[in-house]
Amino acid sequence: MSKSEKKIVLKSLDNEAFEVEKAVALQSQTIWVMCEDKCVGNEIPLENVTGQILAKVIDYCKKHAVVDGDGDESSEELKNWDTEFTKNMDQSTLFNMILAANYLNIKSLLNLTCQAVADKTKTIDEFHTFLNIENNFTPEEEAQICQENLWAFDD
Amino acid sequence: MGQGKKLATWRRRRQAVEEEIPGNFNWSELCPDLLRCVFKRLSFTALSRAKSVCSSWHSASRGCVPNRNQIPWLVLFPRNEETNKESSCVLFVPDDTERVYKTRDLGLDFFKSRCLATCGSWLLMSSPLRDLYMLNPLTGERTNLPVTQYLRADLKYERACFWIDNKTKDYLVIWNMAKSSTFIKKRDNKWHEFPMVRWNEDLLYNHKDQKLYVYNQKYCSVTTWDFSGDGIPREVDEHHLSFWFNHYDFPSWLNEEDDELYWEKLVDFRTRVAVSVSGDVLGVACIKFSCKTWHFRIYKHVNGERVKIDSLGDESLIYDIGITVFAKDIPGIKRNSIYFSGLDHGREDPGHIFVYDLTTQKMEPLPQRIFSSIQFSDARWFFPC
Repeated sequence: MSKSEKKIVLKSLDNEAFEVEKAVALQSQTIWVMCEDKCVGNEIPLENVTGQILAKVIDYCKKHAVVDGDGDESSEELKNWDTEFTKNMDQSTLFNMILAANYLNIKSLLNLTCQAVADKTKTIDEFHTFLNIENNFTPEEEAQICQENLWAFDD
Repeated sequence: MGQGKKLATWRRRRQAVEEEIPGNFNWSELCPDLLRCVFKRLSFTALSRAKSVCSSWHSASRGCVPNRNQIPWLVLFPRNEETNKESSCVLFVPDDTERVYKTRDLGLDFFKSRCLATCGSWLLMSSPLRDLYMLNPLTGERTNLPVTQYLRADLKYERACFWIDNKTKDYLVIWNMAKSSTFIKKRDNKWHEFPMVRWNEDLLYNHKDQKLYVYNQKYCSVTTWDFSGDGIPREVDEHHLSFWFNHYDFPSWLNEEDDELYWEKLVDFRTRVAVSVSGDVLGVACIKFSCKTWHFRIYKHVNGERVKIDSLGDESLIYDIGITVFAKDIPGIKRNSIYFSGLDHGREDPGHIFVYDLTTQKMEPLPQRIFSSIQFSDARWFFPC
């Protein structure tokens, strides 16, 4: 394999280009399929992911591509890295990371980001404030949900 | 909350939404598959709350099997002495210490009723007329047990334990009174007597091995009854585990003076039987000092010897149920602790409701807001499933 074939260029929605090792990019099943099909050249356009998010996804893939080969010793370190990685993400980043992980089909990243949302939201208020979700129930619907699940309401 | 107030809240929320900062993301519009990816990682309690966040989340949560609840909840029964007063129980769910929750109006006289035992989300209750029923305070479901006159006539202090399957509603209830011991299974829905007739025993039914463990306060030992067959249960002979009470194991018993102090301060002591996650039978001894402090010691049998165990490791004991549960790294439960609600020691005193940390050997009180939210007549730790 020549040097150029080992590298691959990922292009974001806002035309930012990232040159990465193929082994790093291939953790994405979506990119893997594109490369297998040879339907793209060395440059892969990713129309659903912005540069800001793609940079983070690549960080994640780089870390996991390196450490995965190292055996069990690093699994604890990797876990800590994952925790740090999502710890300070705001909800808009988390939201877009979930969409990106889903689009790029990187299962472990999807698990990680979904877990991060689950960990950050426990109460109804946290759902409404952290995730900025409107409560769009009509009073009738809310009454019905109360009936099904009454104890979960505190007012 | 009344309809009017609800409508006002709803309008206020809508208005807030219209003024919202624009963004290119909306959690309400995340596709249901991805939402379920998040939902399946939520705890039992968080998922119940997520259902009521917005309508798309509510519909996405349908068919989402909640994770098993892993923490004990505290239920406080209202002290509704006046009739026609609302009888909602207050729930404290320790993974959300900021608030307390309320059940629906269960329409029961909790002041005159007694909660005899709990199993999963279910409570075994005895009514003022001494009828027995099983109640799920989260759903309002209720199953009455058949009445017999001799049960009613037996007015001495009674003990009971039970098991119920949340799905099939199969059950087994064991009731021990002054003159007789009886059990009932859903299959034939009839009370049967069996020959365990000692007074004031502590009972624990462990469905995993289908055995009833009976702690006799007088002989300080545990006998075992096998409920696996169809007929009358048999006593298992080889299991007479002694859990004699050793006051020397408790603090303030260091020299002659302390000896006197100990007895001066001692108000109450007793032993209760419990079963650990791995099926070990435990003797849980507790003492109460006049200064309202409690201490606990735990024993088990190793090769026929009674030994004191200093730590429950990554487990915690729900004293009210008599089981230990796994408690490592789970929000809302502390490992190596005892969840205690003053069972048998006065029903209305918040000072009797606490978590006892076996590492520090100290009682940790619960948030005061729990007790200011209700005039309660009794409380229990239970383990919804």
